[in-house]
Amino acid sequence: MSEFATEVLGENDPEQTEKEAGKVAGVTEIEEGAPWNAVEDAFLRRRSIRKFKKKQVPAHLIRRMLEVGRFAPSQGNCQPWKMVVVRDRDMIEEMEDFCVASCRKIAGMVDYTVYDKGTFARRKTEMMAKLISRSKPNSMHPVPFAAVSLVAQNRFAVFHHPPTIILPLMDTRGIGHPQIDLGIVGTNIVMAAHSLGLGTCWVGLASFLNESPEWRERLEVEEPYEIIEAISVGYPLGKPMRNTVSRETHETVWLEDGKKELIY
Amino acid sequence: MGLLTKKEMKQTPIVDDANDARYGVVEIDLDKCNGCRICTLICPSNVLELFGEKHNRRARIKEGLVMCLACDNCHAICDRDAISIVSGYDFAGRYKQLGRGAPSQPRLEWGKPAAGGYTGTVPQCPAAPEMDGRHD
Ligand SMILES: Cc1cc2nc3c(=O)[nH]c(=O)nc-3n(C[C@H](O)[C@H](O)[C@H](O)COP(=O)(O)O)c2cc1C
Ligand code: SF4
Ligand code: SF4
Repeated sequence: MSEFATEVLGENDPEQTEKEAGKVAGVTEIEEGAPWNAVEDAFLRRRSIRKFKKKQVPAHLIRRMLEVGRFAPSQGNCQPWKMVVVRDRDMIEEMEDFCVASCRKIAGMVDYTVYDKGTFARRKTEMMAKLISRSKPNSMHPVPFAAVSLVAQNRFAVFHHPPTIILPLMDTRGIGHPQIDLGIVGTNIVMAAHSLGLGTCWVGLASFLNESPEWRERLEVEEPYEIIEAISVGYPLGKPMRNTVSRETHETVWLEDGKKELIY
Repeated sequence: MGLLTKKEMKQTPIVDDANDARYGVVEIDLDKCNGCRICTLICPSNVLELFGEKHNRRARIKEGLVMCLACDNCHAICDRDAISIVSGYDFAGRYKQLGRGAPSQPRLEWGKPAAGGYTGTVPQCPAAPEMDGRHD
């Protein structure tokens, strides 16, 4: 270290640094196997909430969440977002109806699961699904396909009838991949909500709104902004954070000391 | 992302064909379940329902096409620890899941089973010929 750096930063003591890092999470020493700290536990227990109580969330809590969002990292600090907050029940139901109708339109074209195998309608819709998957492979992944099908059959909701919806609009001129920055600002908002005892659900199906000039106008979405997702917010029904969940382990490549290991 | 090739297009799995799509699998312990219903209300895939006489209800998986996401949110909310996923989802062809191991609860140490976790399995969707060999 240069003399200047030593003067300003002090001696570089790795142990000290680790202790300082621990302080942020409220612990002083971290050994392997130590219990999850409060921050880690919050991340592990956050769930997508799809059943909300009717009660509205106080406006100051929503502002508090947005404030945590404002300090999210972004590429080149470009902060390529603009927030729209909807707390009007009727409007939320109209947004729901619009997105349900969009799902029905798509399902009408491609949802072969509602027809018996071997029928003409089945063959036609299956062919259409494959054709559309050529240009929109990510939207035609089986999971969103299933979601659209369930919504069209009234077996699943789009926004889940929350008292508040946040639409983080993306400035399409953002640096690099602005979708990443939108994901991070959303994560800040979602985690702040979780820490306040609120529940949230990301809603990718909300992007149908972006294709409607009427909805873009009603929600004050202008060029260069796009609706890419929504975040539903409210008080969760039941105790959805009682248990942590099981999820699949992932192959991880570990490169150290000139060796390569695959761990799960 | 450009246009898929015709070969890739043909690999789009048919979501209601068991050869192409395996969904998450949940196990319900009927001795523990008290039929409180909450899991059936919050399941994002709408695959759970109650059955049985009044005062003796239990949760079960619906008949027909069951597209469980393996999110385990049913387990997260269950007061009785009566339900949990035992396997994730997988699709043949283009959307085959890559590099996955068995599901686990959050692990404080890797390589050891997590406390309170169920022993899971890796789903085995038959691979499309072009994309075989994932689980070698
Ligand atoms: C970008 C994004 C979009 C999503 N869109 C939807 C959606 O439209 N509807 C929905 O019910 N859940 C949606 N989800 C929630 C996921 O289904 C959920 O995160 C996943 O199943 C894991 O469950 P967990 O959030 O409870 O851990 C979305 C999640 C993300 C990150
Ligand atoms: S949440 Fe648990 S106890 Fe309640 S119905 Fe579902 S499995 Fe049974
Ligand atoms: S794991 Fe998720 S999708 Fe599957 S039954 Fe449970 S709540 Fe429903």
